[in-house]
Amino acid sequence: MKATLATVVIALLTLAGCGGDDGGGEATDTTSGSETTEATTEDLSSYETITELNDDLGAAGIECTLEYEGLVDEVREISQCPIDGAPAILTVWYDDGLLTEFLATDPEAVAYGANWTVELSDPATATSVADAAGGTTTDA
Amino acid sequence: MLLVGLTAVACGDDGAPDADAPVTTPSTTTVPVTTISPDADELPSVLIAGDSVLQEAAGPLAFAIDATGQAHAEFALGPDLPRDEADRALWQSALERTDPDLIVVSVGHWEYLSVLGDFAEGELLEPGSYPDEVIDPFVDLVTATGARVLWVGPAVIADPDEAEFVDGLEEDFRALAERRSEVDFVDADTWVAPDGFQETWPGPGGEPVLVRRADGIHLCPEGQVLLAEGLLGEVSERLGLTPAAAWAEDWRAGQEPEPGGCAPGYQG
Repeated sequence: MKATLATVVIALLTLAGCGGDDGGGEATDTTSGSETTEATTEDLSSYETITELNDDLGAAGIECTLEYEGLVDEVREISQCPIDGAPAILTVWYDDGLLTEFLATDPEAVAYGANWTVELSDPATATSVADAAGGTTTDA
Repeated sequence: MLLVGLTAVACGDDGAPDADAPVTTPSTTTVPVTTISPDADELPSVLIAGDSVLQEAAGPLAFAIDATGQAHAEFALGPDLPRDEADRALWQSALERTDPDLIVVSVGHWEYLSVLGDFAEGELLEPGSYPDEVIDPFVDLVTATGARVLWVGPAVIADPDEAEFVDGLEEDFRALAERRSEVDFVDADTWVAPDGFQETWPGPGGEPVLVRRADGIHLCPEGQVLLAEGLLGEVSERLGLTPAAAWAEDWRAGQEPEPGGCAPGYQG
C-alpha cells in the first residue's frame, strides 16, 4: 500500500511537472435532450505524447508495450497495447472539442486527464491507470 | 503494371515531361462503377479514413486529388472500426467536418488486434458476428448522409499468422460490397502486393526499389505512391476527375527524404 501511495504521490508530482496543462477546460455533454455527463478535467494531468503518458504508467508498474509510438493525425495521437491482458487504447488529444465529445458519450472504463484518455474494459484497471497518470475515470 | 509504375517513379528525376504520368491501372471492382454527382455548387469531398497504412498512402492520394482542382480530400485517423458510442462520435465528427461524397476506408492491423480483443473480452461471441455487429453498423453510420464507400482491402503483411487472420477480415469486407450497394471493394494488394508480400520491386534498371517497410506492415514512400496511384484511378473514375500529369513528382518534391529511402517503421 505504501508503494501504491508513493506511486500516486510521484504521479501527482510528475503531473505538476508536466506543464502544458492550460486548464483543459471542462468536458461537458453537448448533446441535447439526454442526460448530461459532466467530467471536469481541470487540475488533471496533461501529456505532450503517448510515450510520456506510457512512461508514467510504466513508472507505476503498469506494463504497456505499445504497438506503435503513436499514430498521429491533426486531432490526436493514438496507440494501443495490452494492459492486464486486455486491449487498451491510449490517446493524446490535440482537439479539446473532440475529447469533450468523446467523454460526453459516457464511456465505461476510461481513464482520462486534461488532454488524454486510456480506453480499457475493466473499471478497476481504469482506476489504476488514472492513479498512475494523474487522471480520473469515467466511472468515478 | 507495377513495374511500369516503378519505372515512371524512378524516371521522374530526369525531368522528362511524361516521367510521372499516372499509371493506368485496371479497375478491380466487379460491378459497374457508380459515378457520384455531388452538389453542383461545391467541389466533391473525399474523406480518406483508416489505419496507418492508408494514412501513408493518403499523403500522395490527397495531394493528387487536390491537384486536380476538381475535388478536395482530407485524411482522418480511424485505425479500427467503431465499437461504441465514443468511437462513433469521433467518426461522426470527421463526417460532419468533411461532408464527404466519397469515403475511402481501409483497416487491417489494428482491426486484427481489436477483433482478437473483442473475442477476448466477450464482445464478439461467435466468429460470424463481426459483419453484423461491427461492419454493417459502421457502414450505416458513414453512409447516412448519402456518401458512397470505397473499401480498400488491407495490403498483405509479412507475418503469416496475422496475414491469414486479416485475409479472413478481408473476406468480410468483400462480402460487404456484395450485399451493400453503397460500397465498392478494391484490394490494396492489386497495386502493392499482387504476388504476395515483397519488400522490394524491380526498378527500371532492374535494381530493387523498396516498397514496404522493414516492419512488414507499412509502405515505403514509393509503395505509398503505388497505392495512391491505384486509388486515384478508382476515385477519379467515381468522381469524374482528371489527374494532373505530374502529381507524383510534385508530391515527392515536397517530402523530406527518409533514411535509406525508407525508414524501417511508421513515420507519423
